[in-house]
Amino acid sequence: MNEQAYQVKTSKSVKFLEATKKIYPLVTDYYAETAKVQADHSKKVGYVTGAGVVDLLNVYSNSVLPVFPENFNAGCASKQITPPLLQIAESEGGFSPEICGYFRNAHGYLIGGKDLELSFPGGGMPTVPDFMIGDSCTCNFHLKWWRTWERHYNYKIPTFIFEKPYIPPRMKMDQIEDHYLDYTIKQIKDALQFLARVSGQEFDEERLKQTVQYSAEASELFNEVFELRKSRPCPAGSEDILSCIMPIVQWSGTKKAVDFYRELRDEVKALVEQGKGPVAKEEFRLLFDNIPPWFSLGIFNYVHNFNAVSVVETYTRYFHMNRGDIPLDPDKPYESLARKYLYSCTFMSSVHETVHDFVAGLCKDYQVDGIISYVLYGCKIASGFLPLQKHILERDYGIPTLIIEGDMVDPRDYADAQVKNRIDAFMEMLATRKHNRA
Amino acid sequence: MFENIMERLRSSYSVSISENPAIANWKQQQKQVFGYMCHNFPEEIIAAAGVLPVKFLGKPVPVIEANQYQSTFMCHYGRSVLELGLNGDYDQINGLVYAYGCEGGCNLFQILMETVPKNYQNFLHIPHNSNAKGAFEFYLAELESFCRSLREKLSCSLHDDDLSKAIALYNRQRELLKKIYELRGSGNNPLFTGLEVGEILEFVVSTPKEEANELLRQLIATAGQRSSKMFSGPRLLIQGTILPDLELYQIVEELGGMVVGDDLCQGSRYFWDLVDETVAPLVALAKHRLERLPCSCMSSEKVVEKRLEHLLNQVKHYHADGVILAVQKWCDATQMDRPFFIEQLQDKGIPVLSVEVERTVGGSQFYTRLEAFIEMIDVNSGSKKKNRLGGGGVE
Repeated sequence: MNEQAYQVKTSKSVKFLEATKKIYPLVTDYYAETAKVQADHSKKVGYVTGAGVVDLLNVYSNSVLPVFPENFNAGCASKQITPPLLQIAESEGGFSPEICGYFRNAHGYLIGGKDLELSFPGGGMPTVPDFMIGDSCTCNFHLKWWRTWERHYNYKIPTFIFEKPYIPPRMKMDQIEDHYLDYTIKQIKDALQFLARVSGQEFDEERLKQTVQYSAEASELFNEVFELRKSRPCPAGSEDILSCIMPIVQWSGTKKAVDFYRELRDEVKALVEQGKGPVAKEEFRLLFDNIPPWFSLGIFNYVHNFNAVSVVETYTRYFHMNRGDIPLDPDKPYESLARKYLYSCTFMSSVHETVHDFVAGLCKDYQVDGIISYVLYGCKIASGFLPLQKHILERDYGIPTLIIEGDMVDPRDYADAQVKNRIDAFMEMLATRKHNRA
Repeated sequence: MFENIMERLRSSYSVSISENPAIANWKQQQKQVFGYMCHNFPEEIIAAAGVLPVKFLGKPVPVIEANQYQSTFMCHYGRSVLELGLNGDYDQINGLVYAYGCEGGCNLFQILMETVPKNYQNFLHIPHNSNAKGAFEFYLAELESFCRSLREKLSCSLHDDDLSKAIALYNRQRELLKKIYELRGSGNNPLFTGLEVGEILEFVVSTPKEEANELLRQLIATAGQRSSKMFSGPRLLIQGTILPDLELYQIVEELGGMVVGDDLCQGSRYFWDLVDETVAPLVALAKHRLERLPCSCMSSEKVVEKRLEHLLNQVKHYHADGVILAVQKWCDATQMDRPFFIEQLQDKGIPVLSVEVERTVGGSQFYTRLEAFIEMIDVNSGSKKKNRLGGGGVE
């Protein structure tokens, strides 16, 4: 079985930024380091998930190396090699093709896919971690996923489950009730103790504060990039920025992430000063909503044909501190991280606030003409309400939405030509609207 | 006598909220009705506040309006709940209350709150990892916050005494339902058929507990005198969440078998564990919801093994010949557990049929698959069948 047998007919993205072009070499180096530390036992390798609890692992960076299977899945999809892995999860693992593509791809890799002759990102992900931390910052499904893997490893891999409570509609981000904060803080403290046990490294509160400091700096720099993207023309489209989340996902709380986002910020700032962007005569500004089809990031270059740029995303906001009025404070490390995790994914908080405050707010701030929402059949929590969101944004804010359906890593039911046809029609509609308004 | 009581039961409720006579009677007394979706929700609390909690049972209706607001990649049950709401079925409902069960339901219920808003709406988070540090304290605080909200919005006292009374009332119902589950599986002429138990479960989540308990007592008292029909086909268990209607029970009986037990949300999981009546009521409720027989949405330690243990205990207890995994299409939580259950049941030599449920359990296609399943059970267990005819019942 090789890549030829599963040729994926979608387009990869073409990057505009120099910083983005450095991502893949970082990934390659990273997996090489992972293989090395597993071989020489110099660090414990831990599978981690979600939007941010990787900070906690990075407190123990002398003895722990976090591995994020979802990044690996996105990498496999970008390299367009997921179909055989998905097929193994379904045919040999017995899992339904309707569930999360991230899980299916990673599980297919673990139970046999790793032996296929495929060009895995970074040469491949370790298949037996030393420990696992599963969290629900992005979804509760992750908890089931990590429990399933705990069973897959016959309970021989120490596993910690971290549950971020869902923020219900009765609360706004600045009105988080105390018990939500307390529960999250208790689990942070418990997770830090778990990590001390599995790593053999003593907990050091100063290192925790340093981690929060790095996390805050990276968040601040990434937020500056988002501020700069409000410029016309937009200096960086989704074809670049979607790839730029990798360092914050993987290295939040480290200097490595801070350095990357400083470089990214500097490049984007220079572009703004020069009045440059991926599309010189920018006419339409789009918001891309939800996890993208990683196997078809070329759609973001495709919209350039219409002088359109995808100037902002919802997904890129989930992994760093960018909501709420209270910034990360190294002197309050537990509360800061708890707020970061509670605020992370908007779809893990009330639908009302997500639509009216977060998405409508982005549309206003970035002068968005239209939204492309990607409804993921395998991701109920992120996608279920998107038709309602479309309805509200059109009705209350006059912003139209194009809904596309598919999976983030499974290209088998993704009809590229049809998606492009629908984008053509959507762009035509936006042009007509603009013309009529003029 | 038994048949008359069953007829009274049938005429005293409807799965349709707008046609449910129990709700109409309750409303005539100027009292409020709240709708909920998932049994994670602590309905005892709203009952203690003088409100009638009713479960949205959904219906096998075509989903049209709901597609405007909710992605189609969601179980038909949930989408039908929204569809019915959008079509006016919940006009008699005063409040919407939910406790976070599954991810699909989490979105769907909020869409319902946005599109069919009611005077009172609340959404609770329940920890999915019940053993997590702080989970109990969190959930207790969540229940206290809910009580405060009800006192304020409904101007009710909602004292501990009210909660204790409601818990006791619910516990009595749990005991009665457990008794019915004892009788349903006994012998080859069960005192309650699978179909009847399905009706009883619909009834108890749609009516006030006092009246429901009285009818249940009468049913149990008279069941021994009824002349029930014999069956010779296999004794089956169902595992899943909720079924679109009672068709599955009916088809099994038409084919000569009997559903003798279940591991369903709208089944044994609703009442299996009692709430502790000896400790402070909110403490007892918080512990109960975190520790009760788990559903597939929970991610506590070895939760799937606990669910398997319950299923295997039922297989043994009811001398079941096979298990039907009736999984809702697009239900991530049950889809994730399905390979494990199939493997475990097969390893133990227990025949298992896995079916996907949508608007219906599958009509004629399901009929054919079930026929084949029954045939397979009979071929593979000739001797067992003989025993069954000899009167295999509850152990």
